[in-house]
Amino acid sequence: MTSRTKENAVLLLITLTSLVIVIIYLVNRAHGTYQGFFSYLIENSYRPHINEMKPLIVGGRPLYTYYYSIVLISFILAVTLKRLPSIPLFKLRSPQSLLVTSGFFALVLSLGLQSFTYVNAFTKEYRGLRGKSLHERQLILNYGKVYQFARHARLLLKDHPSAQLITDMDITTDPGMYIRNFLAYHLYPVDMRNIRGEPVDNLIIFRKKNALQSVPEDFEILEQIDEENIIAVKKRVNNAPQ
Amino acid sequence: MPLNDTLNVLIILALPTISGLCLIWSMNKTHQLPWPLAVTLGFGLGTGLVAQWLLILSIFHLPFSFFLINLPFLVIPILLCGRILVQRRRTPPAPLIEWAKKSTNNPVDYALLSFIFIFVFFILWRAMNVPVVDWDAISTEVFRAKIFFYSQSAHYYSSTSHNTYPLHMPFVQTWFSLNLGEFHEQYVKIFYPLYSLSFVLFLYYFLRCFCSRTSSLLGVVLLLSSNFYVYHSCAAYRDITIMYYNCAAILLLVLWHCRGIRMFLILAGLFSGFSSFVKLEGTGYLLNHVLLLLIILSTMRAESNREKLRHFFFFLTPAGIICLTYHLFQYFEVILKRSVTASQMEADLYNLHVTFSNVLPRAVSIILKYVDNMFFSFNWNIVWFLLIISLFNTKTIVKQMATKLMLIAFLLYFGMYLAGFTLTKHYYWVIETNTILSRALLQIFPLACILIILINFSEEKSAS
Repeated sequence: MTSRTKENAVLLLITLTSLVIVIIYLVNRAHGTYQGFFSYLIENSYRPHINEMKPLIVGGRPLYTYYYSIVLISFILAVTLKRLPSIPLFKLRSPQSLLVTSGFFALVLSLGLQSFTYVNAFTKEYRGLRGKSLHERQLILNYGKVYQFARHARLLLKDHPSAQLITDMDITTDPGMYIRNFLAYHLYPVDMRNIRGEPVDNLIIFRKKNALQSVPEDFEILEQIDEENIIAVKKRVNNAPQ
Repeated sequence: MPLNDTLNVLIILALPTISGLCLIWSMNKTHQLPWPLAVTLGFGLGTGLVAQWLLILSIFHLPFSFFLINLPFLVIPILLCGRILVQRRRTPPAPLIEWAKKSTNNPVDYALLSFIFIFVFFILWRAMNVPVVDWDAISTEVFRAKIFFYSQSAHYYSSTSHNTYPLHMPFVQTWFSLNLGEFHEQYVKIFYPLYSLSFVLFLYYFLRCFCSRTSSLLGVVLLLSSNFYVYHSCAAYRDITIMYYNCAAILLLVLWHCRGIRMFLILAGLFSGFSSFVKLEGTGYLLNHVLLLLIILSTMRAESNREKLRHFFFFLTPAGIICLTYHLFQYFEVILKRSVTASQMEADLYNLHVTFSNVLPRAVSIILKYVDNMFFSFNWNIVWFLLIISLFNTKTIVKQMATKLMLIAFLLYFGMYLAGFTLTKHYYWVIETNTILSRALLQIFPLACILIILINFSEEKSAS
């Protein structure tokens, strides 16, 4: 074993000691158990979001604060050892090198936790999605009912390609805006967002109280799914040219 | 994915990749690139060309027929294959060893590979099992691809929402779906993990030019340690695509400077142009790339001005043509035609609402948002912290040209965004919402991983 490898092993030991100190501090602070603490970390360390993954708060602070603390404690201990003349450790290494090496060891600790959380997230999703067709997967994901409605309407409205949405949802903000867009996406080629600029020939009455009252006279009901959801199409005028 | 579908998808993806490969091989007569690197660059080049070809068809109002959309990708390999073979027989290219560092086996590699395996498996599984559900995808990007697919043209482009957004991803997905014969909600997502994993490979081979295998693998682990990177690799957002083109253009410029292979310069120009066709900020990145190239040229004292000018135009010609073509198309198809101007909050390069009031307080609040996001969110692991503590190693940084260039690229990036967020309407999006800052950081994040490795493990201490 080279002296550098030995030194790295000692530094790793110091980092692990710092980790243990931090864990003992956190578990005692929360008056919890070690098992509960690790389960909490694994369950909550993967909180995906498309715009920003919010920090996991542990003991009132973001989790990464503790990784930084571990690096700092390890660094201070290593520099103290380096300064002690009786201990032949880290004599040729710069404080910067010790700091970065502690940083990499902290990263390894973080990667360990991350691997567990990914395996955990995968297991959960795999159980839910295993063996399911694309259609079935769509149904069990968020807004599965909206997808089901959109798919049903799209099949019904093959000959009526231009739709208008009538709803009580606030479509100027989420979740209403997302649901409107989700509906329009899954309805297409039935055009609910006036992409093609064609005159409206069907109505998607969706999540509308007393939906029946929203059907204008020149439209007829193609299907009433329930009290709040109706698909209506424009009445054909008898003397219209064929 | 059933075997039949897998084969179909692979054959479709092979078309642009092979065209890209042929172009790369024909541009590079002297050096043999490792095949995974050539394939990753070929994929980026090929899909970029697909998007540009569909743009050309749209400019001339031609329909996206099966024959027309595939024409160049059948012609390019046929035209170039024979030439490449003859060329290689005459002068066999120099082997990899000339530009990659030798390495010995290290047991740490296996530990790093296990981490990489977990992350890559997770990305691939999630991307191919969770269909398109993301906000922007269903509202604009993938929705637009669906519209183009059904109309077999970009005819309705100007009546789609957010029609100031560039069209790289919708065009690539339209092309893919037209070849597949259906608009498949799952398979259209394949491009996101492919761009992500292609970049992972590129990052590895880039680092191999300067570091040992272990250090290069560590660089890959640093990149994949970011929760946000992993999540975006399996989501249907364009940020991973623009990250690929933006970072690849920077890395190619650095490689060109350090290894002197002209193909890297031309490819950097193409990728820089492609980045302007993925997202609006790509045009800003193109300007950053031009500035970086000018800085590189200013350090090349041995070269004559005439030669420097040649280098400059090798980069600027493809980049400029691609960027300008898109903006002209955009101007005539959308800006001139639209009756309503973009809303106060909508992203629009032609309508930025620049303000010079309260610049300092606004800049400070933006910087604080950056600090909070980089060090305390769950996006980036502790990578930014590792970068900061690595930057104390100023002696090494001063000695390494590649590291210095990366730092300059960083400064240009942060300068651009600080000005952009402080002086324009985008201030609102950063301060009042959490919608864009993380995604903007994602587009440069891989450079942080590369910098950490170069500063701490580069074997090119004396490079200048």
